[in-house]
Amino acid sequence: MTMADPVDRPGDPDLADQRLAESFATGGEPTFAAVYERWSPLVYSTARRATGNTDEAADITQAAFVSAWRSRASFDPTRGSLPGWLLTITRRRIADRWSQRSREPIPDDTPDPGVEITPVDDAIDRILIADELQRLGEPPGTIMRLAFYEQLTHAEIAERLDLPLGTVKSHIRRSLDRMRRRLEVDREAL
Amino acid sequence: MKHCDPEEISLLALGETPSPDDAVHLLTCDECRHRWEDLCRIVDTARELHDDELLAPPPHIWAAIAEEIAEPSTVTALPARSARRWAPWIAVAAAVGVLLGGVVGVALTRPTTPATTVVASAALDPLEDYATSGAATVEVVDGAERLAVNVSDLPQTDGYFEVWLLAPDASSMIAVGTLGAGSSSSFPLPPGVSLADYPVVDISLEAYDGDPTHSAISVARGTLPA
Repeated sequence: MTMADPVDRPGDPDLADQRLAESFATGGEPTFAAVYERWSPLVYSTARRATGNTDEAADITQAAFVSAWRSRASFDPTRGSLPGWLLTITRRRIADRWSQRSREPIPDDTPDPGVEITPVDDAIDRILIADELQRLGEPPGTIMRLAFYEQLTHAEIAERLDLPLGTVKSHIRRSLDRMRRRLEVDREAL
Repeated sequence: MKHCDPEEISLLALGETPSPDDAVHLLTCDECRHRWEDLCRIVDTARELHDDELLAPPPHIWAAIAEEIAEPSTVTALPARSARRWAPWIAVAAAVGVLLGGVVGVALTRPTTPATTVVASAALDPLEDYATSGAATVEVVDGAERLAVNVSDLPQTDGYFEVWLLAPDASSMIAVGTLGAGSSSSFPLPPGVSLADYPVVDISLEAYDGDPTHSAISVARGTLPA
């Protein structure tokens, strides 16, 4: 399998993301709805991890997207990534929550059982990697899940999936590079 | 100095055993070690992910956001005369239209042309005595939103056809444009219009009578998904 240039692949999710980001600043509600559909899981999941509370995460998501809508004209797709910009806003809304909480003598909400609290930056890394993992397509998605979670070697993966060794190795390299680049690009704005 | 093969560095980050040469090189080359350390962090983080790491927010959040960002209506008040004339009829028809108007699809579909992204679409179904049907699509073309309408079996007429966006209860509406001679037209959407407030796409038959209001004769209708 060869990785064609994104422009040559109709339906490419990266290309769809890029188009959406380019339309965001000037677009109206339909574009905003599509942006919400695509990136609200990142915002919500980051907030959920950072606060450990699903109700708070929902409030933060709402506040972050309302801010994003109001300041969308200031987003410049040539200067940074849209998910990075949305996560910057999310981080500010999370900080607002913390300062609000510190003024309240008794917090009225406690972490939900089973939701582990993670520092915001770590939460963002986790969410970006999870998002990228979901978007790898096949076979890289399966290859990476076997490498990460079953801890198989590349030779074992090649045997399991009946793929040439070289193919498995290059999928592993490309997939990890995608994740590394994704962290660099989306973290640049933070 | 020969650098490590990037594919090998990826495998090492996943925990495979380095060759003696690679092991020595990693100790002495900052560039390769830096790459290896980055990838190790990614692998460690990925291995800690939970199945529910990435969750969509509950559905009511979008409704709350849409309500908060809704801009003041851009519709001019309709003359009372015509509102009285057609409002009850059109409200009934709107209800029928909601039942008939099958929702075709939401969200992103692949772009039909390089710079076009379809954000919502709806089937247009015939009303009353007409056979007109087709589809309406909201597209983002080079950053601007447009409503594309494609219909077939328009009735014969001495007048013309107009495209409208209606509130769900047809209590208010926006004229989007006149359907040209062909069966397909695309119109710029007024900036700031909320499709949550005006989700119903309506095609009316208009006479050349100089009356800018809706004729109350609709030939096809469909509802865009919320």
